[in-house]
Amino acid sequence: MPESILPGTLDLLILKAVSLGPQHGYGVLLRIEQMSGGKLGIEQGALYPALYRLETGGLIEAEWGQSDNNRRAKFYTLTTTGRKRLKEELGRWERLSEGMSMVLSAKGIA
Amino acid sequence: MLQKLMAWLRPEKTNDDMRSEMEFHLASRRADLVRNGMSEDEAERQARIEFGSQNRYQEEGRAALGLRVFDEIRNDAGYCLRLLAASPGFAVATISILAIAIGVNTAFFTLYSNYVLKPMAIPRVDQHFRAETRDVNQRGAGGFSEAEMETLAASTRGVVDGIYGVSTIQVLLLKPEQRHAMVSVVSKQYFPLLDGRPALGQIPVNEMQSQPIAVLSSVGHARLFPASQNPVGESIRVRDRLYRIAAVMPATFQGTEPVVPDLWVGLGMQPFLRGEADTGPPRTQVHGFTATGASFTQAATALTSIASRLSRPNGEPIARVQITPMSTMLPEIAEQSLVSLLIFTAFLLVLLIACANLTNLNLARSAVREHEIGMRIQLGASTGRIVRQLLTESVITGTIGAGLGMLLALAGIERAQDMVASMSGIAGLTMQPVTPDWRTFAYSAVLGLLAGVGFGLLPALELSKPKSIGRARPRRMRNALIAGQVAASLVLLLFAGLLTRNMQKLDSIEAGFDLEHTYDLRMDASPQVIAAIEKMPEVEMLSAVSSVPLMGSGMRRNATIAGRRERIQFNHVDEKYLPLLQLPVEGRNFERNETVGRAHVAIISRATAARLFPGRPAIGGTFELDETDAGTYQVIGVVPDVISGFIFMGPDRTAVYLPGAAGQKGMESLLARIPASASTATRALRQMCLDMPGGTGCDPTSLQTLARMQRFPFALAAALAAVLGSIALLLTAIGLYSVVSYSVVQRRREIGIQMALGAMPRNVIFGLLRESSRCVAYGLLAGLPVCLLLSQLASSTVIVWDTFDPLAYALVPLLLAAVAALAAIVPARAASRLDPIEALRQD
Repeated sequence: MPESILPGTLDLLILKAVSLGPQHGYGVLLRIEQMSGGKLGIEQGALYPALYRLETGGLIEAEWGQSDNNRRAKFYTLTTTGRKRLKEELGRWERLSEGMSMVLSAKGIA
Repeated sequence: MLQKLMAWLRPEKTNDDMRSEMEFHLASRRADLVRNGMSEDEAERQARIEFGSQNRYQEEGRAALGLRVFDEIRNDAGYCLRLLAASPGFAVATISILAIAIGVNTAFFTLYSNYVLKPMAIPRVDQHFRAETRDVNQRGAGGFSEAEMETLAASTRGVVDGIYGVSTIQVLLLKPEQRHAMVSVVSKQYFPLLDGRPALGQIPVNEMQSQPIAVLSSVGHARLFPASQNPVGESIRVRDRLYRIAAVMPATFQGTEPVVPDLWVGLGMQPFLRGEADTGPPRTQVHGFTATGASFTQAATALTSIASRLSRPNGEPIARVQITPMSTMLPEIAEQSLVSLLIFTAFLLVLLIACANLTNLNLARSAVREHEIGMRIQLGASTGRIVRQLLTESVITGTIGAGLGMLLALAGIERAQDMVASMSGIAGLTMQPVTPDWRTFAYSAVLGLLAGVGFGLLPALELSKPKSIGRARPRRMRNALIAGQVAASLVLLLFAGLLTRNMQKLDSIEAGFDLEHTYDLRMDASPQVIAAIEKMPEVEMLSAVSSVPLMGSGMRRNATIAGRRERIQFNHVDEKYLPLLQLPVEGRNFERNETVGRAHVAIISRATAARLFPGRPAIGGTFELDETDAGTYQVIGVVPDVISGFIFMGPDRTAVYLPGAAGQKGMESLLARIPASASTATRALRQMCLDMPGGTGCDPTSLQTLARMQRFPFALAAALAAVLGSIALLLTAIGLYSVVSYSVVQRRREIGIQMALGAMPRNVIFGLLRESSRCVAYGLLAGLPVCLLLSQLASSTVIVWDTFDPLAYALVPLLLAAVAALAAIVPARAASRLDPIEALRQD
């Protein structure tokens, strides 16, 4: 059973997934699952409000196009602002996770 | 933002997009699951479970797109409209109060905007100016002749780029029919500079200066030649001349003055229009344009330096040329802006009263709505959400009110203009047409919005609060609102009262002679006309004068008595003038040979006698005159003081009558005493004037009419104040009524208990009245000092003699108190008839 993601990290995951190339909503989902090796699960519908929020915030852009199976789909691309934000967020995440693991891996109790 | 607005305006599109995006997701997922070996049905189920609630995510999606606020507003708006429809009485009351208040404001603003704010439709409007001449005493020093205008324009080139002259006078047309018309007399450069292009015919710019040629305006076309498609080639007649119509201007060209002329004729024709043949080259006030890059100050300096070197008639040198920028019909100048500020304040006061009122009405209704709002709060609505809902409601009401108000204003403006024109008593007066523009729309929209927020905010904040705390506050607030309304109504009504009283005083001022039966014949006083009129049975007496009373102050000259110089007002009159006005002469009147021979004798008024001959008998005294009538004059009579200038200027401070006779230069006006029925006499006179060989027509006008014309500004102001004041009073009465009704509803139980304990209906009524009378009293106390202050301010700009009229100050508050008492008594009486059992059973 995949783990549900930490609250507040969905935006970061989406930005990362979109940064690898234009993708539609379902593609973003698959990409996240794939990249996590199936360890992370997202409630699929929740993806969309997050996408719209990022779109309104100007971090990603959307355009209607054709999917692989020739259906109309909305494709998302990272904007320049989005790229900058992704970099900042990645840095933050690294510092945070480093700190977390330092605390949690401290010897003594366990 | 634009995207959002589009998304909001087309909600289906946004929703469809979301749905199809989610459907694509589900379909792709399903296909993947089937590929992994699931059955179609199971894959469908699984995909939907994994996705979660599509509706919920769509809703969250809209919120994420920032569209939720719009959705809520739309929902609130729909809710509000349903609510208004559910209580039509409240809706009608609210909207009509608003519509009236916004309507009067918009109407006034539209007029103001058209004359004061809207640039005229002429080229280079920002460089346009009006020039006025001043002599050393800062008095007007007359206009310029065509030749002088050319000199001025030629010598100030580079600073001033074009000068034209225009002045508008009223004339009596004899053809196509006998009626009054406004004629603008214009210089050569008028049409070229203003880029006036005719709709029909050609404008002969040069010929019209020396030949009787007229250019018709669209107004004049409609009025004088209604049946003719193309009146070019037709003619009109003024006095003894026929003017051929050479061109008709389109409706887009209305000239540069607030009054639209019926016709334009050349400045050179002015003497023939006025019947003043040999008075030198005609002069007129001038307008012009600054050169590109030059300032108005530079233009004024340049014009002053040239104008002061012009040799002027009557030894009246120009000391200064004063320039007023004129990009609009009425340039905004300091004295005017204070007046318009006062008027704007008066109008806005009405809106303020309306808002205070609606606040009260809404507060009163909150008793009914407390339940509903309470329920919403229970269901989890935040305070902000409730305030937003209530504000949306009041803003929507405000918008509807503004829309209706604007319609009211547009419907009323033309009628108001017509009324003003007819009140002015000037026949044939057409004001510039008023067209609403974006300013009008913007103004009423802003008023509606402000009013909506204004009257909605307090009740909204009050209602959204949890119920238990601060119940005393809204009552105090409502009382304060009522007091404010009373104060504002008092200000408006007192102003109306003061203006009316001043107007009455103006009416009752004795001119010193019988205005009603004294007529200005307004015709050329040729000897044969006089002979013919003297034979008419309707005319009791006829007199030739140089200036007719009530047509403004007459000529002033320097007189020297015992080496002392005095500036004194003169009038040349024949021997019948004083008997015609029925003025008793102390000493003796002129004799016929004295008037014909212009003997050096004079009759003076009592005030003049006191000034020229203090402490000694005037009769037999002498004084020296210089200028035109130079010589030594002997006083032969003294007459009572009369008003011969404008009626509001009061009795003449000085008046000297010198002998003159019909046919002499400057003795062009004829006065008649017509004792009997005025209309038959004037009809007979008109006919006789027309029948005279070479007759110039006449237009007998009672001096009473002239006096009425002069009280027009006061009448207008009083009418305006009265209308605003009555609206204010009505609104205040409604406000008081609603407040007392509300407190009755709120205190039903209390009243029930009082009655159950044996209180008489009277006690209940008194109890309820006590509170409202207190706020009325506070309102009156607050309003009075404001009135005193404002009327002081007004008296400095408008001619109001008496700013403290005891009658007005006593009656108006009494009236207000009486209306307030009535508005409060009606619901209070209803409360006193409550059945105590019923009252106690409620809730």
